[in-house]
This record gives sequence, structure tokens and C-alpha cells, in this order.
Amino acid sequence: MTNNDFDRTARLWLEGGPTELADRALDAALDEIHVTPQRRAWWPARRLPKMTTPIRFATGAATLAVVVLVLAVVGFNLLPGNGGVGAPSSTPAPTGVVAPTSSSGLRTSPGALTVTSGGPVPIQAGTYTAADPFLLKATFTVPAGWEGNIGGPYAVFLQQTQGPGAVSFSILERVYADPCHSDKGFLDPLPGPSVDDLATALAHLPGVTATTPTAVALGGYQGKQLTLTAPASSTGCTGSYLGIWELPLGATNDLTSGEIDRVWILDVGGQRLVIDALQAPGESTATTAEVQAILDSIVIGQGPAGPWPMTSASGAVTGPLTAGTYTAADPFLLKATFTVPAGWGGNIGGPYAVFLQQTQGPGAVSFSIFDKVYADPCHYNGLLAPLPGPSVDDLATALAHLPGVTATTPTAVALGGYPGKQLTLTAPASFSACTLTPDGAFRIWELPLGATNDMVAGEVDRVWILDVDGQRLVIDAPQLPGESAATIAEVQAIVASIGIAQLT
Amino acid sequence: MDRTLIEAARSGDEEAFASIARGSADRLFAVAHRILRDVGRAEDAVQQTLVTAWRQLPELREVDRFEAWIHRILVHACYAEAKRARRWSANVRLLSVDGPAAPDTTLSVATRDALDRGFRRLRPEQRAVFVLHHYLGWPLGEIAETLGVPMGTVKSRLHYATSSLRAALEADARTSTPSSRERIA
Repeated sequence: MTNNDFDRTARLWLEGGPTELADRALDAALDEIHVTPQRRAWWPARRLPKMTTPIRFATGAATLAVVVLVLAVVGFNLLPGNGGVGAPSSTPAPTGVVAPTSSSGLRTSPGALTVTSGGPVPIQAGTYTAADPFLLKATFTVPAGWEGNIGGPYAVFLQQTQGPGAVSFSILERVYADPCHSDKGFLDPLPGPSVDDLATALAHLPGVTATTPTAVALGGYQGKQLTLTAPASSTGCTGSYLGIWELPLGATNDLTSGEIDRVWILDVGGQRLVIDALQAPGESTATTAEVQAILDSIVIGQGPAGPWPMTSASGAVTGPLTAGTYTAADPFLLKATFTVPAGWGGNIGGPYAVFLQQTQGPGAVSFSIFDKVYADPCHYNGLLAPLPGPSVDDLATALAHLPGVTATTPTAVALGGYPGKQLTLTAPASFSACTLTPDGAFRIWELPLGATNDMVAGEVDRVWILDVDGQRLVIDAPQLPGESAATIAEVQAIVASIGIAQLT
Repeated sequence: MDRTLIEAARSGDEEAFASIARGSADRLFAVAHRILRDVGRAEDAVQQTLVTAWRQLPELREVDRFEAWIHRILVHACYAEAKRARRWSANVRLLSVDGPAAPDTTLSVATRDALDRGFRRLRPEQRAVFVLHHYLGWPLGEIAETLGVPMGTVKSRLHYATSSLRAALEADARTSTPSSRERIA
């Protein structure tokens, strides 16, 4: 049977069979719809996007300052030989991303939120503190019928499960130049780092009715409040929504026709925080009251913690590890299990990285989630444009074709229970002919929070790129020139012990 | 699909959504039935799809993507039905008795039987790709985008499904065609 014969046969076979849905089935669905409220419009637009979204690291001074501080604390640089992975935390961070609050007179929450890339999940009524990996600490009380999540370092989302009520916490600096035509891009220059800078920018957005920013206090911090109202119709706009702002990881805040967005812009110890509460046309007074109660309950604190501990049979561990099996999960977006010998340290670097490294040697293994690859490690000129696509093959191909790096052909492999591709990158023996990055690095890739993987001359990186049910994970085992056979064997044993799973 | 209707439904207009549902239901059902091979479960999948679509419609940013969007919901509803049913592997029926098969007059009963049996052995994910490609005629790239999976995954699922069904047809041909020895005898 030829391919054409098979295609024809398959098509004929598929065309046979019923093609009409019974009226009773359709009527039952429509009856169900009659009693089913719609979700908020902005929820998916704001959720943490897939890693394929181009990520432009925050450039504003305020945000950058905080991130640099985080990176300094966490020890993000993957460059081997930098010493320990991270010092033991003197004040161990909670392993949960949102911990029930049991002090400060707040009643204990019966549930806990998690970092999710797929949007909010239902939570029980109670008081929650959203912190790591969110860059600040936000405490709030939600009534029954709400859901929420931490969208990453820059966002916390709350919304009614069966209604339009919504409150979000955001750290941002990119404001669209023209909400009605968000395809025109962002304000240029972007608003400055202060509360007033952002308030002024929002108050002057074309096509949106804005109130004059007024001084206000919320959650224990001073700031400005203004209200944005979208026009009753988006006719004439590029899309059917108005783009207001975009978070550093690509999530956006969009308004649909007639929506009202109450915005508080706060200065939290130099970190600018935006809290907004969307109000849909015709929203019920009950919903409005619930939203107001949440706003009234908000208490803001400064964060963050980190590095985050991993867990072993004996509990949470950050820094030097005793020999044994460990699990790294929240805030890391996947669950990685591995066994280390004596003389290793490690930590969770945030949502996108787990680092393991010999405390007295060059051996290292890292787990990373990223999509930013540098265009030419030997001749620094920024990131690949466009960035690699979302698949394992996309990234494997991009790495295999990096100029200035000797790469093996990616081969199919399985590691940790998931399929993927493996390749080996070898840096040149000398960088004398290279133009390195401004900070002198032969840079291969960069994580969403700014950590980088840089190679030294002659370094060999074994890279596994895995598809963990749609989430791309990179495991990297760098090997320095002259590395001992014992170290190589230890690294290999760790790699062989790796198990990967999704967060439950 | 009428953009005005979709935009109205997205703003909470139930009548507009009912019109969309009436215009889409048969097509969705046809796809669901071809994936699930069961009328009752296909009806359940479509009902779930319509309710989910209504609830999540405000999240649809690009109206032009409505068809792909609702088919993605449908395919996931079919996956859920498949997990709930958990009877495909054991439920090997010789022929579908769920409805008319009018256009299928040019295929022999044996061929349909072989394809039906081979198809029931496929995983829901493989079935979905096969149906979207061969029934709806969607290009692989569109399927990948709609289902949110890499192109390579779509290709491998389609390859596996095709290989399995071809093998089923060839096995059927071997058993239904007398061997040379039988012919001589």
C-alpha cells in the first residue's frame, strides 16, 4: 500500500461515522452554561508565560538593584571553580512558596499556594504570605471562592474562582506606548524607576481615561493611586484588548472594553510594587466588597530569602551537603532528585535553577530552565535573535551551531525518566582571539533571573536537554581541563542518579 | 466563525455563545467521536468542551484563533474522557455500531474492522494527531501550535499512529488473503 493509498483509506475510514451531536446533548451543555460564570479576562494574559516568551531582563535601576542583590545572595554564577555553591542560610527559608501565616496575630491559613506556570489554583479562605520567589513579601486574607498563585519573581495573582474579582501584585517597568495599539511597543524611554515616574506614565496613556495620581498608603508603604478606565469599545484598536503593561517575564496586563483598573504604586524600601484591582462592567457589589476586603488586608514586607534549601531525609539543607539523596523542588519549577557523595554543596537558585558543586573541587552539575542563548560566545554581540524555539530540538540545534564552540551532534537520550537530546560543548583552548562579554566571559546561556553559564578555556560541558512533559530542562555537567578522574566519576554518579518529576 | 458573535460571547452574551455552540457542536462532536470511537463519550467531551470554552472565553485574546483554541479544549476533553474510561485497551469491538457510516461505502468491512481495531490500540494523544491531520486536514505545524506540543512530538505521534494502522491493515490483508500454498491446494 502506497502512502497515498493509505492516506485515502484513512480519510475514507475517518469520514465514516456520526457527524451530528444530539440535540439533547447540546441543550444539556447550554443549560450548564446558563449557570456557569465566565472567568476573568485578564487571568491568562497575566500568568507566567511559557519560557518561549522573549525575556528581556529588567533594565530599570530599582529592579536591577534588587535582582543583583538576589543574585549576589544566591550565588547564581555557574562558572566552575568559584568556590562554594552558597553559604548556609542563617535564617532558613520556608520550603513552601506561600506559607501559612501563624504569627503576628494572623490566623493560620489552611492551605498554601505554589508557584505555578499555568495560572492560579484554588485556595481556601485564610491569610497567606506570598514571598519566594516573588521579590517582596505580600500578606493578604482571601475569602472562600478565590484562587491564586505566585507567577514568578514579579507577580502574585489572586482571582475569584467563579467570578470576576481579581487582585494582583506586580513588579514592572514596561508600559505600552499606546494601549489601543500595543503592537507599537513600549514607551521609549521607559518610565523611570520611581513611583512618580510610573504613575505619571500611566496617567498619560493615550486612549485610557486616568485619574490624577494621588498620595496614598497601602500595606504599610507610601505611594500613588490612580484609576484607569478602558473605553467602552475597542473598535479601531489593533486587538480586542488594551495593553497596559508587561512584566519582565512577558506576562501582560490588558484591559477589555469598559474595565476599570484601580492601581496602587508603592515604594517598598526602594522596590516599586504595583497592586491593581480590576473591576469588570456590571460587577456585583458582593465581588467589589470581597476585593476591597482583600485590599484592606494587604501587608507588604521586604524580601526575598534564598538560597532555598533542598530536602533530604534529615530535613532542609542549604550549602554543604552530607552524602545522601536530596530533592530540590519549590521554588524550582520541577522536582529534581539526586544522590551526592561527601564533599558537595548545593542549593535551589530560584524557579529556574538548581546548583550542585564540589566544595573543594571543580566538579559541578546544574539544572536550568532558560531560553536565552548567546549568539557568539567568542565574539560577544548579545543573544541569538530570534531566541531558540520552545522544543528540545530547538535548543539542541541552537547550541550545536554556536560559533566558536565545538559541539557534538545532538543525540537522542533519556535521563531522569524523560527523553531528550544530549550534546557536548567544548570551548576553545584559548580565548586570545575572542572578544568576550564586557565582564570578560565566554558566555553560553542566561537564565531568566540573569544567572549565566560561562565556560573557561578548554572547558567541556556535557549538556542534556530534556522534555519534562512540556517543560524544557537543561542539565549541565561542566568538566574543566585536567579534572581528576575521581571528580569525573563523582559527577557521572550524580548524573546517573538523577530523577526528574513535575511538581505536584 | 463570526467575530462579532465571539466578541459578544466573550463579553458574557449567552445567546451569542449559544449560536457559536450550535454552529460548532456537530464538527466538535465528529472530531471527538473519531478520537474516542464512542458516541456517549464523544458527547460528554463536547459538552465539557462547550462549558470550558464558555468559562474561559474571556481569556481568548485573539478572536481569529477561536477554532484552534476550542479544538485544543476539545482534544484535552477527549484525553480526560479517555483517562476516565480506561476501557479502550480491553474494549476491542469489531465494528462501530454508534452511527451511520454513509460515506464509507468504498471501504470493505474487513478494512474498516482492521483500522478500527488498530486505532483502539493507539494512545489518545496519537489518535488526536491522526484525526486532526487526516480528518480535519490540518498541517502538522498547526496541530503542534494548537495542541501546544513541539512539532517533533506531533510528527512522532503521527508516525506511530500511521505505522500502527498500516501494520493493522497489512496484517488483515495477510489473514484475509489465501497464501500461495492455500491457493495451490
